[in-house]
Amino acid sequence: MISRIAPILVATSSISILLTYVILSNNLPLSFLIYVIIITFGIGFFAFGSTFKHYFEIKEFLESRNLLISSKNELKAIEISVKNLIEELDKTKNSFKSILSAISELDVWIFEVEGDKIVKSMFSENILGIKDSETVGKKIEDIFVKFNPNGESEVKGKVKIVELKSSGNIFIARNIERRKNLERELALLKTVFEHSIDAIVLLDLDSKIVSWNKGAELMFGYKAEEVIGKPFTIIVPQEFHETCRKNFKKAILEGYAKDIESIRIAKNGEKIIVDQTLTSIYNEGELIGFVSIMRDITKRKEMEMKLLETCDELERKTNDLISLQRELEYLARIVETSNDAIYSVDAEGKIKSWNRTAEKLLGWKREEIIGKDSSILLPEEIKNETAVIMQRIRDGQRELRFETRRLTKGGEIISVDVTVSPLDNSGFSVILRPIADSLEKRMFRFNVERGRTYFTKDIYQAIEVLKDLKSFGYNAVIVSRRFPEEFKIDARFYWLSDQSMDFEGIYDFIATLEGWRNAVLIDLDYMLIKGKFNEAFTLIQKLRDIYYILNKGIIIVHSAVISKEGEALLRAECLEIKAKASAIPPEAFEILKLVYTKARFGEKLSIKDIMNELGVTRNTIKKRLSYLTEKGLIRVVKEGREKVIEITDEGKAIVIDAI
Amino acid sequence: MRFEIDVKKFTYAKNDIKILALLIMLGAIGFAVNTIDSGLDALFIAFFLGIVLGHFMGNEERHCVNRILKIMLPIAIALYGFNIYTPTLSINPEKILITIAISLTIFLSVYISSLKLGNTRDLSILLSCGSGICGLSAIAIISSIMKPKKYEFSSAIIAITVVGLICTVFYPVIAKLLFPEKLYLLAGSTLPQTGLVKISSSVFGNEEVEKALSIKSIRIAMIAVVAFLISFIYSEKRFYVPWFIVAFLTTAFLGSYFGTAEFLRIFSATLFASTLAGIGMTVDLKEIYRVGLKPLIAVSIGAITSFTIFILLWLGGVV
Repeated sequence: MISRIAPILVATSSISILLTYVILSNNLPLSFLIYVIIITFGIGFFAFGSTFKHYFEIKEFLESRNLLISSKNELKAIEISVKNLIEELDKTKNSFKSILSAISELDVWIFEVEGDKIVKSMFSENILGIKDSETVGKKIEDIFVKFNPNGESEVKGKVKIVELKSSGNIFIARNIERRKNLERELALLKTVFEHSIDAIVLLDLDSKIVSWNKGAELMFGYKAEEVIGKPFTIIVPQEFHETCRKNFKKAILEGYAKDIESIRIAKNGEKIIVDQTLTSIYNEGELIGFVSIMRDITKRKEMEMKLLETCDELERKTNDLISLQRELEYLARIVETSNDAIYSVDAEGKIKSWNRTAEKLLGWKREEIIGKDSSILLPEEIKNETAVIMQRIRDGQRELRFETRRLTKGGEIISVDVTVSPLDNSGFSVILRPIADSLEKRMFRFNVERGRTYFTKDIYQAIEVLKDLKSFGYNAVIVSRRFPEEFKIDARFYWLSDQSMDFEGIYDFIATLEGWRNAVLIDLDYMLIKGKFNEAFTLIQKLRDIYYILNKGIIIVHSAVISKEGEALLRAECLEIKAKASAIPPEAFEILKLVYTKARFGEKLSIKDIMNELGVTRNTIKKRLSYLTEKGLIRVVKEGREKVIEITDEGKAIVIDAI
Repeated sequence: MRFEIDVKKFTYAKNDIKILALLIMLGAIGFAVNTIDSGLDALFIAFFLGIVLGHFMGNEERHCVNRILKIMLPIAIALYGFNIYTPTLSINPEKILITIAISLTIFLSVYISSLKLGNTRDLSILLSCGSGICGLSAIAIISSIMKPKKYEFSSAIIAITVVGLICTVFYPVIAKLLFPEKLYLLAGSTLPQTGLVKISSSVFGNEEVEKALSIKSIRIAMIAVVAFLISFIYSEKRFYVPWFIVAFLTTAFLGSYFGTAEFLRIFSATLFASTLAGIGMTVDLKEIYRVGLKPLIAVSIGAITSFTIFILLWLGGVV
């Protein structure tokens, strides 16, 4: 204090002395001495102010902050106040250290920057993972990828994202990665909440709606602003209110409650089936509300119903299929055990299946024949039969029935009745039934046999044979000079004349007749009259051979005008027609055969049974039965209230003989 | 109708009268001292006494002083025009130019040095006007336009008075050694207050006093121009000259050309000194001395500069 006041006193004193000296030495008025006083006062006044300016500033500062204690001694008061201030500062410093210590526990980094360099650093390990001493001196660009003095920044450290706050050149970097992750999660959850197709409804403790997502809007038709603040029961039917209340109770007690296939009501009154999960929401252990997540299962339920129906349908069809399969197995067994020879041919004409009867009939074992061309079964003259059948199938014919012949493994040609049916694979199945020629032969009224040629001089006999054969389904063909009316039979006619008497043409006509059951009557009289015996004889020989080989039918040669030599030659080539003594009409024989067959299994047929079996009217059956009864082949006996037919021993003998 | 007396208002009015009486008394003392020794400026004496008394006054009394000053200051300025001397037409134009040049030099040197030393602009203008024109009266008049802080006003008055007194002591001594016949010009063109010019030049007789006052009157007349300029600079929106400045110029013109009654001159001087006493009462002494030596140094630089210029002019034979 003295060191400051002393210069002032010295200076002002010097000025005063100097001025006084000047005034006195120059004889200036003594009143000037008053001026010296004023001057000294003025200079001293300002010098004092200048010297103690800082003192006054400190005092005023303390006063303005109410830190100056009241004391008579101002200097003492300032001293104590400053000491108090320093003590307060020490306390603050300690507090600050405590705060820093606390801050060090947080994920923050405090640093000071001068220019672009870090000059001070605290807790850099929290963010950068390096010590403060290593951090100091580094440039901002060495540490920060993105430096935003008051905002989000990117750091090259163990933490990547920080939030910077600056105060002057001091910065605080706070780790906000966890916050960012939470924000991202929150945003994700918000997106899920907003865009979920499930209805997500937040409810308060009074079960009033506080949040209503887009899924809920789409599901129930209510906009959020329409339902916010309204009770949850707005979408619950009256009859489900009690269930709803129980669910809330369960959710409080157990944390959640599931409500499967519950009914809700949409804005338009439509009922919606939902699966609901009601979950309690807690904040710091306190229940703050509920969240109801509802999934619309209406369509799923409909689909389930349809699926159930489909399953039933499927089960029914499966059962049908099983039945069908059994039926097929049954049919397969039938096929396998059938008395008919059955085989199938593929689109390339190869044999694909072969049953046991076929083995027996045609001599080929299954393993031998499978894969072989079906033409192996055809005699030479009908090798193109398979091609013809396939063509007809391609033309749309569903079933072919005809009589033909087959070649056995042993080279024998047998007559068969063929039924051809197309298969799905463009192939076809063939059912072969050997034609009982002997039976047929025995059933004729005349003793004729297929494949044979007969000669007769009796035109009426010839016509009778022709009629008899026609009654058995033979195609009647007449080659004659006589008019067709004379024959009184429905037959194809080859009328002989000079122009038509072409032996080659006649041969072709007869040889190429379709089918295998042709009854051909050749009237040689006109040919012989025309003196063409040799050609006629040659014709007969050729026809006899071809009909024999091909078993195409029966040829009856007639001539009333033939010479003895010619007759002898013809008789040598042909057989004689003989009438049968006990010929039974085929329709009557059919009944006899049926009765015999049933009798073998101990069955006795009534008239009604025969009607049903043969599809013939009662009267016709009665007529045929009376014929057979008259012949002594059957007898009608009463069995209870019903008349049944029994076969006699004589009838049995005829049937056995015929078969 | 009810007749009520506002006791509070009445109390205030009673105090106002006491304070007004005190101010007039201080003004009268200042005037009396000035009459005895013109070197002791009436305004400074009154201001000094005001500061001393103000130190012992309470806030209530200071409020009274402020209320009184609001009315008294403009009136005092207006009437102070009667104390202004217009330049004598017989003065050599060359001397007028020299005086104006020296005044401007003082003005600029004080203004620039004050700003450089860190003083405020208002204080710098007050110091430069006080130094360059006519001391305390110029400061008082310009302050009424500028409305500076009171410590600025006070420190300007003290600094100018101190430097003016130093110059008053030294000028006769220097003049006696170098240019006894040019003292009137040195005093008239450089000393801030009229009283100081009078006392300084009186060393060489009354004739020198008259000549010095005639030179001083040129600088006094500049107050009119400066008042206009300051009004112009400090007008907030449009050019505006306060009424008391217009009145001051009018009274100065009337007093100069038609003469002023002695009592009116005494009254106006006393009233102006009373106003300065009032200002002194409202000033906080701490605020003044905290300004430090800077105003004093600025004014001293102005005084040294003006003296140097004068020496140079003398050496150059111009004066």
